[in-house]
Amino acid sequence: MKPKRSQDFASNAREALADEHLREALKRGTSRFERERRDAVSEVPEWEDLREKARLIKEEALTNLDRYLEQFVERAEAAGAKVHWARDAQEACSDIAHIIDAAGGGTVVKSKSMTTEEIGLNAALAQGAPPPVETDLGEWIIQLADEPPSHIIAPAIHKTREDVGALFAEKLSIDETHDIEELTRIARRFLRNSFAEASVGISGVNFAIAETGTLLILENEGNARLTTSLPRVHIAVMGIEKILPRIEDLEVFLRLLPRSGTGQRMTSYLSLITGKTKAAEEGPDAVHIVILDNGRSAMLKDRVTRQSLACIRCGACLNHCPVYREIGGHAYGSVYPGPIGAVITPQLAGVEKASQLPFASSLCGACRDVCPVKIDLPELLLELRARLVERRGLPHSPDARSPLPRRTLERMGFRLWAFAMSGPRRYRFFMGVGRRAVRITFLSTILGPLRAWTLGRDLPAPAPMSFRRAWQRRRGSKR
Amino acid sequence: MSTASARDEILGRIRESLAHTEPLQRAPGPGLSASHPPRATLVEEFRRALIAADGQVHRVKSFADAAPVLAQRMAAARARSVLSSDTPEIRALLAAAGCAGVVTPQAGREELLAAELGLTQVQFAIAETGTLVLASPCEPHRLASLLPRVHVAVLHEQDIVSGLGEALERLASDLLPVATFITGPSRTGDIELTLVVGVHGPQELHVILVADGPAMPPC
Ligand code: SF4
Repeated sequence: MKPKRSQDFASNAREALADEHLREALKRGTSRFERERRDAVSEVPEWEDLREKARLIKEEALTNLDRYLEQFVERAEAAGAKVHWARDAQEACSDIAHIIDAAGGGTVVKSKSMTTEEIGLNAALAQGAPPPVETDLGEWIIQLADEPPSHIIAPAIHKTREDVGALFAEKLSIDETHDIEELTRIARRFLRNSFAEASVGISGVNFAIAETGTLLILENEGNARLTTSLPRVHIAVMGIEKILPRIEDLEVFLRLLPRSGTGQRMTSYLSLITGKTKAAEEGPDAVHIVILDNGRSAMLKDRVTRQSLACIRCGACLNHCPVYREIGGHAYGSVYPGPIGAVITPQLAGVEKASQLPFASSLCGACRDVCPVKIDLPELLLELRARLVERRGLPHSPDARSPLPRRTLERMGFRLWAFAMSGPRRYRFFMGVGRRAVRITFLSTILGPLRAWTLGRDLPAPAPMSFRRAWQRRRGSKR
Repeated sequence: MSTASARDEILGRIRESLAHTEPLQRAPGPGLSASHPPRATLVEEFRRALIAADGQVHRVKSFADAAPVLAQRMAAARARSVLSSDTPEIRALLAAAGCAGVVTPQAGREELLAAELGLTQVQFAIAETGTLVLASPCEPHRLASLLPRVHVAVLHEQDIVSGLGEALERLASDLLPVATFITGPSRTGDIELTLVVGVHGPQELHVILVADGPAMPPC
């Protein structure tokens, strides 16, 4: 099934739920991620400490962001990088197009970057020239299939080996195989040709260190290393929130990120790039850094929304979300899916454009429990819901035209939940007392537009035992 | 093209958003607890972590013993050409192993891409994760450790540090311009989350672990 890029979450979700093939692939993928993360985390007794440290480092970086950004830029430029500031997606795309033009065009290779997905870079660059070649295996698969990614670290998680085999046979005119190793070898062969002739490489950035002007890129495949070392020009695209103050801060994040994402102790590769290489060394002649705002600066305003910018894009909240696990990434109709997608999409695109997303959650709290930087995703979802309801009542709800008192009540309901969610103690108290109530509310009121879905399918309602309790019990029994 | 005005506007928006926020000041307190186990423990921890990450370890007593291991790896990979990071130590090793077709990082792209084995040193390694750290000021390692199907790296036991914190500290003084952390071979899980090694970079990673100190002064 070709995913539609509709923004109607309710109908997307219904369609996804009817797709057994998709649900099978999702179940396999997310359970595997969940298992591997659990094993990797259980090796680290100080896990909770690390999360708190990470949260504080991010809060420090974000509440001093102007200062740290300036420091980063100064150091990166001193080391020979060229910095470009982009207020929005369009400005970023046109900056990048200019850099490619100035480099004389030619083949452009790209490694995985959600930020370039966010700004719609490939489509913008494809006007008049062939689009950049995606070189991450998952990204290449979905580029061939002309689909958006469905997961922030495993973009083709919704595809089975049969899907990929059929796709390669059709698009590359080769014999069909369903052997995963063989499919991977085919990708290597085709993509090596692109690397051999590439003149420009575009990458994302995981962290940018203010103190030294260093860019960090984590990966497993080696395509980001190829992208940043073979072509003559490297363009790195980063949101303003990627800044960390000091090089030593990396220790915490390097312990948290691979374990939370893929369940690895460390990714295969980690590149630290500080400016451009000297004349006699290998590497590009020019390193460009595009720093993107695109709505992020507004999220800094209050404590609640500021958390959205702490995200290190590990994907754990997707893998543990009972809604994502059932419907996958495409149903969200946004670049960023899952709990973090439901939180940042309305803030980036405007609440009006993604008004259903803050409701695409059962508020079970699993996302918050696994988030390595302790983002309180339920609190954020409730805040966004409250803002929406304040604006115009429940979206698409049969009650949207109900008299004001009803709406006010609902608004208060969300505020109450926001209060309940605002501290772990309070949360536990409310969840203990209110578990039954949540389930009822969730099914009958909040997800009014999705009633058909929730009734017909596995209920993504809060489990009888909360994830938090089950988790603690499991961990307790391990000790 | 973005201009100074884009910079000023973005920084202005950030300052405006943060106008009523007390900036969090974090005292650069003690880092994460670092342990300093004896060398033998470190070597063993490194060896285990590297194997867990699908790397292979070949322990030898002295630098002179490394040459036969390299020769073996070249034969196993049927390597006609070796992409070398071209440091004095690597040159000596290649000569001792009797390797003819040596390619250096300055070669043309076609020649670089054709090499079957890459040979580099390792500036230091991290026991906790089995990670090799290579830094460009010491050797041009970027392509030799990436392009060929087999990467052979020479590491001296005394260059193993315990954890990430220590590694970052060691690196902080000289980051320019590129440092690469390598933990096992290139891998992907992008089809059904099934692990396949060698997708873009090396399929095999061999570390020749030399017990004695370096034959030549380190960088
Ligand atoms: S919100 Fe947290 S769990 Fe979700 S992707 Fe971001 S860092 Fe990971």
